[in-house]
Amino acid sequence: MIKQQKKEIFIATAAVRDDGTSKQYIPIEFPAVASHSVVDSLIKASEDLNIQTKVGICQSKDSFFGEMEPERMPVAPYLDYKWSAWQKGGVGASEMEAATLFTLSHIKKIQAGAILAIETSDKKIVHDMTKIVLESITKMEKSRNVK
Amino acid sequence: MSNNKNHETKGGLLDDNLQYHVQLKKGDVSDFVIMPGDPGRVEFIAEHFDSATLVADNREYKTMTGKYKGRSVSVTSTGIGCPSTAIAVEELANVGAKTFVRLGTSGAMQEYTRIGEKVIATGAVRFEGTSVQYMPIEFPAVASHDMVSSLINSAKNANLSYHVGIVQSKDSFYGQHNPEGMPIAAELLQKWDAWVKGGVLCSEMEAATLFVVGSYRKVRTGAVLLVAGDQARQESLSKEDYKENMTESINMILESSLEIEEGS
Repeated sequence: MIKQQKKEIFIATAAVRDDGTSKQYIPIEFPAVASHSVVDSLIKASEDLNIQTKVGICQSKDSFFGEMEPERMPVAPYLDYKWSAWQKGGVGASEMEAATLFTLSHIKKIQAGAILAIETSDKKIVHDMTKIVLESITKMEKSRNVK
Repeated sequence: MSNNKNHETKGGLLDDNLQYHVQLKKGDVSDFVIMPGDPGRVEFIAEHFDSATLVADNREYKTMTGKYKGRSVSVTSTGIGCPSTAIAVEELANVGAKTFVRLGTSGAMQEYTRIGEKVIATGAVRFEGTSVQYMPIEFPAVASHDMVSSLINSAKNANLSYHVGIVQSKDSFYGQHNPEGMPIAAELLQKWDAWVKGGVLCSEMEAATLFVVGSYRKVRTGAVLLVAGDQARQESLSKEDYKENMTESINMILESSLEIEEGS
């Protein structure tokens, strides 16, 4: 999944709960889903700005090196098995925070979304992501005023 | 509406051209399929199409295909629960279905979800046994973003009272209605309380598997759940109200189908 996509901006609709924190809030069956309105604003903002993005599910892990060098880990077969399942499920990006953010947002009754830079800290991409987020805020405010 | 004799029940016998359980072949269904649980509801749903033909009727799977404002649409019942839903999604995807919208009833879980309201599911709690035979439990049961957007538009345009959010999918109806009586009462009550605190809107029995299998099969999914009962308030929809609210929900999905490009 992640390896074939270079330098892309990814908008997460939901996250795989491969984290430990969200489980200390709510049982694992609960889906880590982003707020629909936040995702919508991010997508619309990127379209308005003519910046290409991908939209989909991301994986939130707790061990960076477990993803980068799974073969080195004592639980290597477990990591490989899960990784290949996520790939078959169409997971498009791997990161380390979204699942906790999305899960807690439902419990705390707040809105949450995530925009991710894939395989890069390229300044241009980070700049584009920031533009998308700022533009999306204005869209959220506008839609709130309508109500 | 005429019954296609070629597709009459074959008692589960395997036919090369037909999917084993739904008894359908390519060309029998639209790319856009509405999925109620109850086969008895299929005809009622199809009455809202401009035209419809019965194409198959086997076990819990009854399928009618027709047109709505010129767009092709199908309706296939899933039966109750996730195991039969997974079979329906797999076999329908095999014969060309690309968008699946569940239409079902549900029980209210929040004080602010009231009977007669429509819940548009963004995701589902995987409190069921089928989806874990596809994907590890950490994977989110999430509806397709564009389908959710389109359903919200339809609900807004029709001025319906609706909610957008997470629903709970369970495998035991009576585990929800009489948790105290169950040997695992403590787990059922504790988890229910957790879902309520997590803002879960209503409880039903199919969405989680639809969403997870949908992600795996790379098809578009969504769900509209009519709140038909409220345990806390001891309320449920009257027969007339149920019919009227079902019609609103059906029209909402049909209008959404027009926003999804045919065959995409």
